Amino acid sequence: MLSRQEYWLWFCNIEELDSSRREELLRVFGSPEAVFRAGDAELAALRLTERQRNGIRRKDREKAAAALGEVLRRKGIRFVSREDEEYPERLRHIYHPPCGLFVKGRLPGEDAPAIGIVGARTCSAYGRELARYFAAELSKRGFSIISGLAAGIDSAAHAGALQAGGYTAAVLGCGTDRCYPKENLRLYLNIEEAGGLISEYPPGVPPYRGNFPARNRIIAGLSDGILIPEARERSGSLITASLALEGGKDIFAVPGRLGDVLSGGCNRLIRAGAALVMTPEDIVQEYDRFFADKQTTPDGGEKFYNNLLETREKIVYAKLGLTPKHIDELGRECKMPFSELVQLLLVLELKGYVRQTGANYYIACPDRLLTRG
Amino acid sequence: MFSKAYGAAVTGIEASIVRAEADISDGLPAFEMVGYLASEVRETRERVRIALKNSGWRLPPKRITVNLSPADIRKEGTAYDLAVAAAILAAFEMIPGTLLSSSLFAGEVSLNGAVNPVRGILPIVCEAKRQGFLLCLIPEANAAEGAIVRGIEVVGIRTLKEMVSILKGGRYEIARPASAPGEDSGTDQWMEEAGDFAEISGQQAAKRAAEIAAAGMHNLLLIGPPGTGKTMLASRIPSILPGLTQEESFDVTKVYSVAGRLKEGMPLITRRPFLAPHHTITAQAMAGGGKRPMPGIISLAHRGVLFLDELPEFRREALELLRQPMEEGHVTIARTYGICRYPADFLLLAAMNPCPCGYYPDRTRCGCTSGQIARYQGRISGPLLDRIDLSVELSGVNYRELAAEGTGNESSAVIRARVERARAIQAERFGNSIVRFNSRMSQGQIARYCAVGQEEKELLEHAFTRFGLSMRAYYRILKTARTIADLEGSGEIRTRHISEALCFRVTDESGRREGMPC
Repeated sequence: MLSRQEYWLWFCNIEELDSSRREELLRVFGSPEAVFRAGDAELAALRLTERQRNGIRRKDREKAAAALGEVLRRKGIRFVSREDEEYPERLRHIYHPPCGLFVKGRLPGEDAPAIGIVGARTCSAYGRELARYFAAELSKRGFSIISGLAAGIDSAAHAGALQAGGYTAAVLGCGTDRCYPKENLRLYLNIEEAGGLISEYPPGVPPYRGNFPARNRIIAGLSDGILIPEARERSGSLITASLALEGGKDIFAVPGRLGDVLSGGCNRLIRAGAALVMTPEDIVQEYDRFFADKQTTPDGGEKFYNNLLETREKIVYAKLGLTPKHIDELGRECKMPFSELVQLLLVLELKGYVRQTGANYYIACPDRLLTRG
Repeated sequence: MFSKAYGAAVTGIEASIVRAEADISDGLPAFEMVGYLASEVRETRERVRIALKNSGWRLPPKRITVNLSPADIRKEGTAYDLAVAAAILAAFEMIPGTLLSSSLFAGEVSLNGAVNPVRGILPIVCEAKRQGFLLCLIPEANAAEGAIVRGIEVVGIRTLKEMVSILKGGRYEIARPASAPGEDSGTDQWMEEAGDFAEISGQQAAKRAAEIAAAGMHNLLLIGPPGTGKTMLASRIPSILPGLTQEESFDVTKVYSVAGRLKEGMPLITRRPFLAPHHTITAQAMAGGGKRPMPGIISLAHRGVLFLDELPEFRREALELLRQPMEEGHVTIARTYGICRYPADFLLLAAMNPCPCGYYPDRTRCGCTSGQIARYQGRISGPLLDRIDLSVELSGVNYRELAAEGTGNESSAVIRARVERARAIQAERFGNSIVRFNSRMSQGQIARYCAVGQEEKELLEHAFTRFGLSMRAYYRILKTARTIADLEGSGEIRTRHISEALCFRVTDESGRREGMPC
């Protein structure tokens, strides 16, 4: 005899079923327990394949459910079913909400606005810096940052939120006990500690390709708005955006130059009606309702750079933007001897105004740059 | 009757004197050779016996025993033939033994009595001079090489008959070196071949890094997309290095002599070696070795430049074994018959693309994933990167630079003058110490020569924490800053020198990764 919770766990663990199949079973039988007790004849009445029926009627299913519970305890993963109070309210309203979530760390808070930041995996330094900057600024203002732990934009968004000391959730396309891609291990561990790792897949499930579109629907579902700093015209991020749009969420896109392959998706979204975003404030003001009773003024006043930079430093700084520039190019534009330029760049770097993206390539740090106007 | 003649054995690039002792006894006619001989030395017996016969000496039917002493070092190569022939002839009293005690023989004989060239003549003649020999009889083909050594008579011989005539007191002609050491006859010409820095447009940062590398012998890593001129720059670096001094020239020539790589008519190496092995090179070809050990590429690059293009494509073992030479300036090879040591003090120049396709960070052209990039860059191990002081990323050249080609670019000669000045300061600084360049300074020397003021200390401290430098990186930056100050002729290291050193610092793989530090 299983507990209510264990029936849900069993139900979520039937790998033969996809979310629409699960939805149908629940509609017909009412609860996982009823599915569990359903006889062959009752199941046969549904349009299930033999494989799916066998998945449900497996002999060792009781034992397997108990074993899974044990695995979860050992790995420190919580299971939150749709019936639980803890289950995110935002997810209840999406198309095919996951029956249960496997969680390491915390779920996003219900009364904080949540922004999903997604975009290209092979992004440019520009996109990366923007993702990080927006994530950090929104975090500081109390937003949760939702993303998918992929390389590129996703990683930058998570890292930005963590840097600002905010909450960030990574929705995975594999079990929460796996880190994919594995070079994000450090990020993965930090998110577990300061945020949450969320998946609808039980532990041990590998990152199958087919899992990722389903993962995107959860990212869209958990967010109140989706921000896309950089995406190609044909990109998974646009799928996330359209899922979010169907769910009535806001879409924000950062504009790019025409002909810039990596901004093609963003520009297209803007033409289709997405909000064009230039500063984090553009997003914040859309969510005033969350801060009705709170003071929202950020710790602003970052316009002090004029007081802090020397004239020569300003000459160099003024030539830098969010696109990496090689030191030779800077030298030509500033008409400065190499040894002086090097010195000024180091000072700017140490003061936090510029950053090297690769050896000898420099960009202006967005937090200073976007507030300098 | 007993007699002896002197030859020499080469281990590493040093020679040691070997005595060929011959004894004639009564008994069944026989010819025995002993003394820890490799098979090619054992064959000396047949070569010498028949060569003597074909040169007109009939050996009486006696029991001949030859011993190569000291008998506990392994004898390899064919250079003992002449010494053995001389010892035997003297033992039969066919030639007077008067000159034998002050002469040294090295050369291989043919069955018809001709004398063929051998490897390692230069170290052999050097050792002969050191040991007080007065005359060296060596193959004619090696004569120009041996004649480089002053203070000893070197005679090139073509046949056994010539040798005998000299030993009988006949006239002989002392070989002349093709070009006297110190006169850098061929230098200008090859400089032209190598190309000039004036031909490189733009790339200010990379050219500056090359200058610093040349001045302090700092190893340099060039990173950049295909076609930006990494190879062009690297191949011109010898043109800004100071010419070889006579002593250096000798060191290099010894290695080439042992390797049998001296070209005819070029007995003394006067230009700095520039070696650019292909990335498929094996570890053994790189380090040297083999059953009969031979100097590898890194030793042939001694006192010169070793250029490794496409660094991540090299085999890991081939790269890993660079660590010892880069630290100690020589490579030690252990073989069954003993250990030999070859010098390998070179300037390492390495070039690589930033990613497998080559165009990162230009995302409009590069579609490599961050994992691919990390893996590509990760092929170069941390310990190897730890031994590289400078790295510079080359930018794509734009049309404006291309159009300005040839105007206002500094020529190699101008840069070389600055490098030579910095070298002179270093020579004065290190005096008689074995360390000769800033890049090779020990901890103690860094503390002594790289003292910095308060302002500089604060900058270093700030940068240290901000960039998360390791202790090793910190010292590399100090050493590089010292060279930059030397280039300027400044006695003290200033913030501008440190800034520049920091600009060219080597960032390790994790620092260059696309993924965020978090």
